[in-house]
Amino acid sequence: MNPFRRADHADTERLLDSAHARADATLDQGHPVTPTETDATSPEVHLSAPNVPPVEPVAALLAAAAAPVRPGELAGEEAAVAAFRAARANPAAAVPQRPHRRRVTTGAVAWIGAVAATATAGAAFAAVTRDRAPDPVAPAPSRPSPSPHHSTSRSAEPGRSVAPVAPSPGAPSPVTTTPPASPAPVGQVHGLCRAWRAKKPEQREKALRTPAFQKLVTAAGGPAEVEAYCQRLVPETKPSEPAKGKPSPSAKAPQSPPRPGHPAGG
Amino acid sequence: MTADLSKVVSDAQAGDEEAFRFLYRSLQPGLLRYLTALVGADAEDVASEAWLQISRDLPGFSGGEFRAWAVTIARNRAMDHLRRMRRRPSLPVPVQALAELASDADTAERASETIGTETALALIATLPPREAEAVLLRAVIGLDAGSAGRVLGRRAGAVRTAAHRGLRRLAVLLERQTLTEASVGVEGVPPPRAGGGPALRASHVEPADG
Repeated sequence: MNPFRRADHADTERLLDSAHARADATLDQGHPVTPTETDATSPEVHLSAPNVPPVEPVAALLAAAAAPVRPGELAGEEAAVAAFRAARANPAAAVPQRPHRRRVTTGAVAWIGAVAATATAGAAFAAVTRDRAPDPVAPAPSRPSPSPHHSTSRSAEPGRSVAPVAPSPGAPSPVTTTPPASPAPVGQVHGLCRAWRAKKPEQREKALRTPAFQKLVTAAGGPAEVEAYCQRLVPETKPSEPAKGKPSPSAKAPQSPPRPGHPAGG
Repeated sequence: MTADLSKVVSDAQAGDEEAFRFLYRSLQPGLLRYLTALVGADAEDVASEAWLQISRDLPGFSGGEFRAWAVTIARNRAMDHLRRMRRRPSLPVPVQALAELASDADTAERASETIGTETALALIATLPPREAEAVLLRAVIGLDAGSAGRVLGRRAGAVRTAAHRGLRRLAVLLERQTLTEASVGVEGVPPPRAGGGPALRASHVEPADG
């Protein structure tokens, strides 16, 4: 009494297709489908409806599984739209040019974050040390930056503080600014020192083993010399703010992996 | 519908918020049901993560079947989630799915009349994961076998076979359920209900509301 046992693949395909056809039918009613337009209040699927042969329990099951939207299923809509809006407002964060590069190691993300937080010297340094194609980096598109000079006064050479750090190289920008001048090696090591100091003390040693800091290690003459070297090169002018001081949220977030056992950390 | 959808997708890529809403509304119900079979009660959280990434990466979407692209993102998030939770991607299926079915339909006749969506999903989730995913992607999200295969990293033929086996298994399940119902008799005997909540979520203890 189970006709499905003898069913072949064609029957299967037909069943699977017809199950979703119903849901599609509700979709095609109009451009904005609101939950109230569909029969959201009745999550049951009645087999007397067209498209669904009433003989097959399996068909009934599939139709129920593919039933029109139920209350609550669209609860996340505003959050999703907000994310969409945010991605539009700040396309630099979206990194649309390289969707496959999302799996950068978290260490690299943390490092870039630390650089972005501390390297006030600007884009020239960032472009050089990020191991990406060092094409001329435009400033972050469409982000209003009324006074890019305000926080970069100390020990920054003139001309290096024009552009804020642009996290997305190659992002098109109608604003024309001077591309960063060819980075002087000294300035680069300056920036590396700052970036290195911005790290937590327990991470500094490990950082020196990464390729990004190799120039610093070389310039200092060895990993053990880096601290003294940086102290000579860039004296810490603000003793009230130690290097491990205030990591920005963006720099800190990837360094604390989610702890298993706390699934909903809200 | 695919042609319409691609127009909507390009509108959304151009920044049309209403188009994005439409994409969300058309995809999210099926996506949520699919994710429920993968990660149980955390499906909504995973779906939120997925939509975050979808909205971020939408400008980079370069054509093709949008739903397959989006579902692939969601599935990856689900797999990441399972890795984080150190759970195997076992489908959380309680035995009481069948009891729920019984509670939905007191008699064999009514069992073939109405089935709740939750119950149907719970039953599908009792299948081996490959079969369950194939059935859900095909019937609930509405992908064709080729697109479902791209989501799963398998050939279209493998998806067809898995879906076929899954449906056959479901048919047997339903038949057995019907026979059980008929032999037990339901006069005044309330079906055993292990939990008050929906079947799929009953197996998960969720201390914090996400």
